[in-house]
Amino acid sequence: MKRIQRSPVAPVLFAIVNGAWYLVAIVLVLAVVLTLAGARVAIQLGPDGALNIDAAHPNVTMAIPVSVRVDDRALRVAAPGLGIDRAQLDDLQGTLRFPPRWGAFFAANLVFAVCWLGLALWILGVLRSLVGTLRAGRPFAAANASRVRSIGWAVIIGEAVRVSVVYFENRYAATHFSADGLQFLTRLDVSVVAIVYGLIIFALAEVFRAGTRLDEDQSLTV
Amino acid sequence: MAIRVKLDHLLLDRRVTLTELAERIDITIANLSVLKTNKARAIRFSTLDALCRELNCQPGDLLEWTDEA
Repeated sequence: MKRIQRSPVAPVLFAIVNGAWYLVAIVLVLAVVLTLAGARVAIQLGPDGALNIDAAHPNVTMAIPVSVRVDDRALRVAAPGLGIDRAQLDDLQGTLRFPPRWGAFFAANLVFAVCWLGLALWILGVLRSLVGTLRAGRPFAAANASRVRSIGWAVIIGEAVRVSVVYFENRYAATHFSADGLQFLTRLDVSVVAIVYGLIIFALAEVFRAGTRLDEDQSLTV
Repeated sequence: MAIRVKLDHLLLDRRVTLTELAERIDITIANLSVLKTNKARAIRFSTLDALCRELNCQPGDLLEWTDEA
């Protein structure tokens, strides 16, 4: 396979992706260690042999995404300078932070966070291999098309998982929390942008596949 | 491939080695070997021109169509 002129951007990209990979790897290891340590503290065998579960650690807070509707009678929104005396805040999205209670929801969130970091690490690893071939002047290496395609799948599947998790967290908040003047909503918040990104990456994978074929033809042209 | 390169026959006829030919037409031995072993997917006119000039032949003497799949 013939090498093409090396891109001056590739080493910078490689350094950024490499740095991100190490950063996520460190965070992942910390998350796993803290999760295991937290679980050990939280689950203890009592003197009578019974399982004693307590995750109400004083310094630990949990944050989940929420969607809320504001009661316009409770919160008055106006713009006197514009002559608008009544405006309405529609569905709002934010984060609900609270001291966690050990249970299936808390454990599932910890496992999900670790899986999410693992997925990010895997994507960055694939991206690192891809940028490595760019740095070496072999952008159309045979494995690159499948690397790009797998990143596309990861983006689409990651979005589907994110939507599901946000849905269940919204539902958890709507079931267990209440606030004056606010109504917690349960929403399927699909990001069209993420899906479009996934499709663009699939298209790029096809470009890489065609490029690989052309490169093979070129390398066997005498 | 249905097109076969008869470079080995011509080299034998002209009593020229692959290395000598590679030096004369300024093509790497590796590339010439790809051509000789029929692994090439395409041949440039410039390469064909150089081969015909050095081997004193016509393109038809160098290339042959066969009925292979």
